[in-house]
Amino acid sequence: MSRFRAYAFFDRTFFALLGMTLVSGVACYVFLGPEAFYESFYSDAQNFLQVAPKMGGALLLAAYIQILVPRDMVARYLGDKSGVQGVALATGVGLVTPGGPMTSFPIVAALYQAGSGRAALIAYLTAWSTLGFQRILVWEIPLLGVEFALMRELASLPLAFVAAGISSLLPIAFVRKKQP
Amino acid sequence: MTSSAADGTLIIFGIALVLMAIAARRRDGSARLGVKLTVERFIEVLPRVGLALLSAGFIGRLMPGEPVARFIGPESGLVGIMIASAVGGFIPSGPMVSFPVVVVFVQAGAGFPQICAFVTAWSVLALHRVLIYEITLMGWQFSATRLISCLILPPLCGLIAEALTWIYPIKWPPW
Repeated sequence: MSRFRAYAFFDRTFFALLGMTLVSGVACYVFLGPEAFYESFYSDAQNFLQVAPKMGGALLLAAYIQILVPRDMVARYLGDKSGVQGVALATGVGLVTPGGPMTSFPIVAALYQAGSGRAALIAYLTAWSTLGFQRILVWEIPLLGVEFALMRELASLPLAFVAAGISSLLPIAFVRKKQP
Repeated sequence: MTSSAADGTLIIFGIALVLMAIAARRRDGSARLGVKLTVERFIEVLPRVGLALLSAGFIGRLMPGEPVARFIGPESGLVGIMIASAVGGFIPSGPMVSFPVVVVFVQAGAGFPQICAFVTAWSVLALHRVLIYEITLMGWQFSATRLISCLILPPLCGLIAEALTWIYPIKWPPW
């Protein structure tokens, strides 16, 4: 069950956001006047009501993909391919890997330990971070719309290949750390 | 923020329900686990998004739009793309903070290619992730190789986005 970590409700992010909201809200009220404050407040409350159901749907979808896509599938597809084909495959797998860094990094670390090619691993991490569908569903589409998400995704498609290509030219020797 | 009904919400719910049915057929508690996960995350994410949107709105009003539009506006070109790339690389947090920041920038007049560069920089360079996960699990040699390989990506993404807008002029700002 450690894969599905329970979230702490009042953590640092929460208090940082709360502080930011209070400071900016007071500043807005003081410097721009109550009218600007309420105008901002109501328009954001309205946005929030529009965004909330979209996020609910996205989270539901993301949760079931996380449950249904077996984790070892990712490892299987990344493990034994190399070259351009491996990079293309890594990009595709990165795109569909759900979850945050706590799900993707352990997979990459294990493959790295096992000796997988660096180009494929870097392609995977780049694709996962720039194209990952979960972030697009949960954040980009609700906040910025489908058109933005698709256009940005399109502009980001070649990135994983570029990064993989550069990485295979770099003369840095890897020291594979022993698994703790 | 998009207001039309054809914005994908129903499609997303539809696909989610299909997957839920598949999970239910397994009869191993997968379906219930999915609901539990969703509720937990929804409760976690929702108040944060509310706060992030509120503060983004306030900050957007306080922040003079003119410099944002001048430095990373649609007319700022490659220089704006470079500036946005540099700023994006130093946002040390998850999507919960960075996407509301994106909303503020867009409201203040940032351009689409510049926003793409910003999001890519934040995605690939994400310093918090490098420090917490990457260096600990893979060693600094791997992190260094990946970061050097990715340095060019944010401006590259911005330029591709710029070229894409010549082919398809995106509605901007998007809402």
